[in-house]
Amino acid sequence: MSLWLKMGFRNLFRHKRRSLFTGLSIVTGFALCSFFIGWAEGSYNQIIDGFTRYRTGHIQIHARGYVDDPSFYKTFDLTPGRAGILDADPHILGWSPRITTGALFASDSASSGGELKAFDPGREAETTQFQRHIVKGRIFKKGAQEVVLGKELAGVLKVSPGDHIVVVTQAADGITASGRYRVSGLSDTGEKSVDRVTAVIPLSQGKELLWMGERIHEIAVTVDRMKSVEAVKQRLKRELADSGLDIQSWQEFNPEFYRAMMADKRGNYILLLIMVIIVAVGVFNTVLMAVMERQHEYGLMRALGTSPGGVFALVVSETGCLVAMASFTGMLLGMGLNWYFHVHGLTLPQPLSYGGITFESLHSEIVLKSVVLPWATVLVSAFTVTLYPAIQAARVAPARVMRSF
Amino acid sequence: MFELRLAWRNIWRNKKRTLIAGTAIGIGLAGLIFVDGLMDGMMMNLKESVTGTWMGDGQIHARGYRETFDSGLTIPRTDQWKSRLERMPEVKALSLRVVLSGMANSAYESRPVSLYGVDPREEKALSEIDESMVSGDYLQPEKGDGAVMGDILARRLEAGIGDRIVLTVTREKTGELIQELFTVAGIFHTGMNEIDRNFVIAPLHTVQSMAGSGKDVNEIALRLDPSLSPEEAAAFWSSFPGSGIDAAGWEELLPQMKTVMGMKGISMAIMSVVIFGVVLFGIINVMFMSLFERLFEFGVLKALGTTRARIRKLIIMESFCLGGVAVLLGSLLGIGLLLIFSWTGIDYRGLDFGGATFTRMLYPMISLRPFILYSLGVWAATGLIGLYPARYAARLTIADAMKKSL
Amino acid sequence: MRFLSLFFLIVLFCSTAAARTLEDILHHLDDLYRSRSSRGVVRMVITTPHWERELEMRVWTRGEELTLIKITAPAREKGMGTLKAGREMWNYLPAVNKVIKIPPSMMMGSWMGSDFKNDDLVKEYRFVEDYTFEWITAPDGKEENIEILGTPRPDRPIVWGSVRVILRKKDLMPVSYLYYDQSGVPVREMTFSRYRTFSGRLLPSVTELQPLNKDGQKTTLIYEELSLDVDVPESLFSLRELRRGL
Repeated sequence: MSLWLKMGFRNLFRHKRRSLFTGLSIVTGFALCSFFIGWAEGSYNQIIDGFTRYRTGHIQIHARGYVDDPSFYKTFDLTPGRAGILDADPHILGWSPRITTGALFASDSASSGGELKAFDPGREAETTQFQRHIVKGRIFKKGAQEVVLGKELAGVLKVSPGDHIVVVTQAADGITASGRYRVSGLSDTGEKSVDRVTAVIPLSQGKELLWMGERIHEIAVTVDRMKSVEAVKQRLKRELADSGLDIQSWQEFNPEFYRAMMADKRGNYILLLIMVIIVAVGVFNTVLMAVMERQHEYGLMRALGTSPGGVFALVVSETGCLVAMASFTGMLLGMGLNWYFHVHGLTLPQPLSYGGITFESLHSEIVLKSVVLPWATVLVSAFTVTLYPAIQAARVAPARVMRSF
Repeated sequence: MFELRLAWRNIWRNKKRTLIAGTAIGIGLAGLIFVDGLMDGMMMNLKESVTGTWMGDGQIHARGYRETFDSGLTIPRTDQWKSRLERMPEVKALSLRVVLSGMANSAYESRPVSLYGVDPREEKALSEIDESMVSGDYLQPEKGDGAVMGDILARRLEAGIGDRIVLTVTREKTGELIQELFTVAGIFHTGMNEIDRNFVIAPLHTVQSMAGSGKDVNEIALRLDPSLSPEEAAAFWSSFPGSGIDAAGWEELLPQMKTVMGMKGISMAIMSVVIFGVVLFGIINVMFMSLFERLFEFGVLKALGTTRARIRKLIIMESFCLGGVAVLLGSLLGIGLLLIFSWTGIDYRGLDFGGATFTRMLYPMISLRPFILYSLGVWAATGLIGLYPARYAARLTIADAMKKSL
Repeated sequence: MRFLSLFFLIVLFCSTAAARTLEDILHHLDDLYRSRSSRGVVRMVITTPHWERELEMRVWTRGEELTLIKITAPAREKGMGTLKAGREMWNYLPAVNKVIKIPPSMMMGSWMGSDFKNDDLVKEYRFVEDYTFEWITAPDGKEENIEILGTPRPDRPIVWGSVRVILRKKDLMPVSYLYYDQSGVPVREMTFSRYRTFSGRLLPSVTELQPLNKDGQKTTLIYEELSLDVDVPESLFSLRELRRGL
């Protein structure tokens, strides 16, 4: 057995150019396939991560039923116990409690209804980095009597940073509550429907205005990596189990976005399938050429007394060595490409904008798929194509084989 | 030319090899053609889903309307615009729409809504509300107080067919509150959340009188002739500036769709690179193989005085011919696949995609340009790749050639 | 022959008498609280599943167009006020010392958290003009109460399918208004009680408004004091007066 292996290996060097080209075709197909998989995976994850990390958070916690039918009175308590559980999780990068209600906003010249939100600027900075949306002025300071208005809302109220507005709403105990806040900045989330109605004040101000005590409507949580989302969610569900809370990952509280991404990914799979077929065919072609061409030689060997098994083993081992070496090289190259584009990213000809987040470059990711799939493709196609001529060379009478060339 | 004829005959000397290599490369080409058509079809399908359901291929508004959505901003001299647009050959259908935002009140609940006043017949030709009814009837022109609404809205208002709904809107200019009674004539489900949750659609004249803007409307939705290419459509939309109104095609109205399509372009580009790689080595392998088989032959040719240039030309021609076979096979296969799938379609219905839903079967698009582009590209590549073996053959010394043969 | 015509005459007289009485009743109900001007002290109790609140306020009206309301209790809301002039409405908030005009989009919102909408204060539907009524229990029977059923006239922007009005036969005081939706399901009920005489007029001093599809929700208005047709200067209905302390 090892004789055939050695011979197979050495045979490769007899026809350097041919081996090289056959090998190169495998290397290229493998590497590019690998890169495509890594890049597709990476860019989708990047978009999903960008959207969930900077807009909604990866996980959200609400009182039961809040997501389907939001109501001011569907609140839950932010107890030190619960806060502790969130703080203790090593995968949680940041979490931010929020309050939401409808309110009337009035400036000196105009008034408009809208949505009032309250969160802690420090916590929000760790979680969704809301301050990145500030286009004029700055975000409010913790505990200050300041407010950030959506860009369009500020336009309706005709105010700029430095002006004051009054917020009128109904507190949790029914009293009509009002407060005067200085506009510290304007925000642009990229979604006009949000920027036309939203104003944000510090969490402590919101609690006071609305008489909330420790009650809040929502906690947004971001984790370190997309992969951690499910694990963190399950853990939180276990540890906060007693409470009548809805703990949901982004796929659950934002199903539209999820479905959109899935549909897009599905489209990519079709592309991938076709590419795999093409690579397989390419490998098939080059290996077939190589094997077919040598039939004369194999016939000669048979005529000289080599056993059918031996010829078979030789053919297989020669192809096998080449395919193995080429695949290995292709794998390294593919991983190298993925690594490079993972670190540096592929700069897009035009920045991509999705849901208000802009991507200027998309990064690849190193995934098992990008190695396993090309290996499987190349191996299956290479060996399938070797088998027939190998069997033929082994079985058929030498004269026939030599003539068939 | 002589080399061409010789080249053609040469490649057929080994039928099996030529056919196998040609098929392999052809499959690559077919892949490109098919995927391109598929992607185009997908984009078209999505675009149709969005534009066909409600938006139209584009819309016309007063300048500044899209920034504030102020219902007081109407298209000046709407009726003149209407007749002008009707006479344009690119415009296939149009619908005048008054758009007001206000509150809808049922006996139980009140909800903020977008109230659209449309001409039922015009709207029928443009959007698909009439085809999306789940209960009751579509708008009848004679029933001035009948309105249709999205199913999510109807559920939130706890309203059913025949129930009374009061719409309250404000006239921006005067601040007046205007109220009007409607009867729920029908409920629709488009699958698009925005629409099902917020829209109330009623007859044009009723809503017009609520708006108090006379005969002018806020929006004219247009459907263009489907045979227009994207460039022709773009030209159409940009032919309006300076006329005091804002005309925008769906690409401008829905920038996120364009974005998603851009991503596809990148994927296609990468795939092309992969395929060209496969093609490259496929050709080189075959060419060199056939070269080595005939080394003795080339030696003889050279001994007989064939110039290097002619040998080079011969090899390049052979490469081209092989490419030609591949292109022929590949394009037949590619088009065949496209034809099959454009007959059966691919079922993606119900899937959401960037705010739009696939509401219809997906059919790949068959168009001439990508087909020609890819075929010529592959053919040119095969020719160019032939340069390498050509140079090798040309450079051989007679002695080497005769020695290296089997 | 003469008896027959007399008989018909009596029947005619009775039926017209009945018809007149129905319209009279409607006018009476529509004009129940109407006056050239008024001044009063009102208590409002709001009950919701989440809290219960009591507000005390002073109310001045002049004609149909002008209303001024000032909250006198509880302390947290003391000094707040609402001014209505025609179809426009303003709120004053002493906490921030600001007068805010209620934008039209908020007119359908509730007033001070009660079950009454801002719009209820501004608009009035008149039974006489906006509804068509018929008898259920006519005054000629032996019952204590009269019952009539009203259906909104076509095209009137009213969400109710019908309204059942019950009033006392002896003094035509309203007992309850029951609002139904289109399919006859009762949606909201207004009940009247504790009839008192204010400035010589008998009026229900307590009005309760209860949505029937929500549990634990109710708003009660109690007229502690009410003087009708008194001297109320027009200058009172101004933004400056709105701001002024009591």
